[in-house]
Amino acid sequence: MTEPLTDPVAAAPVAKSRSRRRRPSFEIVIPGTLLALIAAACLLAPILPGLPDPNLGVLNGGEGESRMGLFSPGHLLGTDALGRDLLSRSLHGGQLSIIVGLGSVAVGLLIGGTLGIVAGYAGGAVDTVVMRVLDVFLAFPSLVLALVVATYLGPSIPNLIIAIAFFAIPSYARIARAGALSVRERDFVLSARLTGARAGHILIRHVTPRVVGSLLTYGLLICGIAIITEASLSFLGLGISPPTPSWGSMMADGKTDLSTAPQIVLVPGLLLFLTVVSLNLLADGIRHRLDSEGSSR
Amino acid sequence: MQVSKRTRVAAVAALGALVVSACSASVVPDSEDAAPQHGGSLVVGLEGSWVSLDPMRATTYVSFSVLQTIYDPLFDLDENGDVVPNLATGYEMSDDGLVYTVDLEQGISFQDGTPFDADAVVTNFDRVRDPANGCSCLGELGVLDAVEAVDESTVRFTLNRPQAGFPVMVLGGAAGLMGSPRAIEETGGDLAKDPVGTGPFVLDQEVPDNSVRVKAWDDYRDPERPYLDSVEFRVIADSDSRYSSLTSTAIDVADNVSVTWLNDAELNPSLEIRPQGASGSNFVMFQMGEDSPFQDPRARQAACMALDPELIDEALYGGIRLTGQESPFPTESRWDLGEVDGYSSYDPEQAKEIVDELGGISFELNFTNSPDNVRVGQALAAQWEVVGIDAKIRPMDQPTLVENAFGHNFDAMFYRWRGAMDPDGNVTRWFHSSLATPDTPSSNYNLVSDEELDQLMTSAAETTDQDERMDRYRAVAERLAVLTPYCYVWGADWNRIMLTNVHGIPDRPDNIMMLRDAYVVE
Repeated sequence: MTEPLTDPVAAAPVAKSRSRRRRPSFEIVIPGTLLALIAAACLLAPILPGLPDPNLGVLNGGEGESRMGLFSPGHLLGTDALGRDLLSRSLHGGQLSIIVGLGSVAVGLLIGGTLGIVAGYAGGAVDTVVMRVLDVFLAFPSLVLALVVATYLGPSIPNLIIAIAFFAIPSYARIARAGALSVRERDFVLSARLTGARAGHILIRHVTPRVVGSLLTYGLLICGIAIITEASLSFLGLGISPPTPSWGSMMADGKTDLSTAPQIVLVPGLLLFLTVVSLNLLADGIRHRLDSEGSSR
Repeated sequence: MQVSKRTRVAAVAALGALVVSACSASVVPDSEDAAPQHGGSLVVGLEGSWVSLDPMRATTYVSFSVLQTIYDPLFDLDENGDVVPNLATGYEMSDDGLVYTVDLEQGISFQDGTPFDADAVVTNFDRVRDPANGCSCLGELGVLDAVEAVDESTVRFTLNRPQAGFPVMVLGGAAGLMGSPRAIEETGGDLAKDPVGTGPFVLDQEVPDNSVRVKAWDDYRDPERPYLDSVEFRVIADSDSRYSSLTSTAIDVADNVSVTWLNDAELNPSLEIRPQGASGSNFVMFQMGEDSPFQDPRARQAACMALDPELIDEALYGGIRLTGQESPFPTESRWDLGEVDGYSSYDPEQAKEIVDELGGISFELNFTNSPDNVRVGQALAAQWEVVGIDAKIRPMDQPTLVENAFGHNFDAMFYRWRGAMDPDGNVTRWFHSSLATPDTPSSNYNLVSDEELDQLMTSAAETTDQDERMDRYRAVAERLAVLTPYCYVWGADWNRIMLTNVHGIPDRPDNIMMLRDAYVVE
């Protein structure tokens, strides 16, 4: 295999992606559609017609009763112990999951990715120090780490994002570093270095584009884990303050009514399940496609 | 891919478990009227540690449940909170209420063979009375001037002022649990090293803060008892885990299970729910010190008027809590005063008027972060919202909450008090002005300081006549209604849940578990 002296990705990224046309694959289309539907319903919840206020219940003048079953009049998926509409609460709770999921992936990707690329490209002492510090964090069980950070910071959306992003940073850094290491010794990087390009330029122009693909795929996976972590923190009472709905706190709320009113747990639980499975399948699908693109290149 | 597969498997397993649990049948022998039988062992799930096997260190009802397997008290308390003889046969009080003469059972020995007599009682009381020993019961012993042996089976207690609660709080409390004088001497005064009493069980094995096992003492004075061969107490701090340990029959008795599990337990044919009643209560308490949004009594009254505990109870629990409380003495307890003149009961219109007058009320409500309390917190906030009171709810962990309470560091708190069997324990330690210290931690959490209230509480504690005492506590409650340090929500009702083949454990409003008469049907 001969190595080009100029970086094909940096030289013609746009032309390359347009040059290939592929059949839509079910691996990507099905979970993608499902995710889009859930996200749209959650984000549009405040303006959907016929959806009651998520915090209105029997104690503050809402219509209906405590613990109504599925398909009750006015409450399609029933109500919780305080008589609040489960569909409305689940969709509003989904907003929180989406914000926290995407937010923590963005924060983790930015910090972890940067650290990893710099460490991998620089090598030597920088690499050793950065990666050993991150290894320490990797050794902690992630939920425990998130618990500690969430307890310390207190309940708010930015704090939740920080707490969850925290544990993902080392994994992003490892992936980014591996990518950067493999690119570092390639000929086009050497030639760029020989022509006097500065390290910053090489990192942004040549190294980052080759790492971003795998980072984003991994980000999708992490997004699912982040949503589960948010739900776990809320389930344990460390998420956003009630009465603001969240899938985790709704499930904690309903767990004692499981034998008499299972819908209180099952409605948010099913939404959580579908979202996370779709994210995982989508990440899988995209990785398969990237892999096959890589091998046919 | 690894993660998604694991997620899917877990979800399927969870659904499967749900289906299985929904159609369970009884797993223990059905034995409603079985006669007492000997043998077998009992495993009890406790909500906290017994702390120590020395009665001097007894703190919560959990300590007493464990200690009373090994040590007998001079007097037991019955389900009404009255004293009934155990090691003592009875007592006589002098007319001025200052001298109590107690007669003892004769011919009893401690588990190490030492005879139980008046001298042994004096030795025990001298030990707990010595401030150097730091008994957790010192507060109640301040009234005690002298303890003397009159003869071999009679002891005389002399008080420095009348105290109606003396038999309940002292003779039936931690100080009344009798340890062997020889063991006290040999352990240098620390019975935890070698717990020896006259009780039905002897210590087998103790793992501090985790589990303790006792086995039947063959020479117990009642040859028929105990029925059980052994008892193991296990600490399972989380109420939900305690309940699931019971449903899986890993334990036989679960102490103090959250009310939210009652619906589930009722559907399970293997379980029996034993409500213990309540001597304490759940309430919202307000910080009355400077800079608090609740410094103005009208703000506190408006907050109480906005709440309808019956409606909240109906929505959350189907109407099973002890609501209707308007004094520190819960509904259906012995000192229940019913409606109290001047208490700010449910009246949303007037609450709204006061809130408008005050230009709005906004504060933070603290409570422990158990799922049950988080629901109650939301329910309270929803009712306040209706009258224009803005409450931010802030769940926190139990130790932080208690620390903030003692440090007077809160606007308002939803709080549980376990309750005292003598009514004085439900008022003086909470409301006496000598404890209203904003800068030092104290049990007068909300800084109540009112001279009239102080006098009313002291006079009620000194009265020995039950009816007269009841009247004086009504006066205390009426003064409290004016001050409104609390909005009462409902009684701190205990629920013990057991497998249906466990019998013979008496119900008590202070939730102490007596296992002398307990038996298991195999």
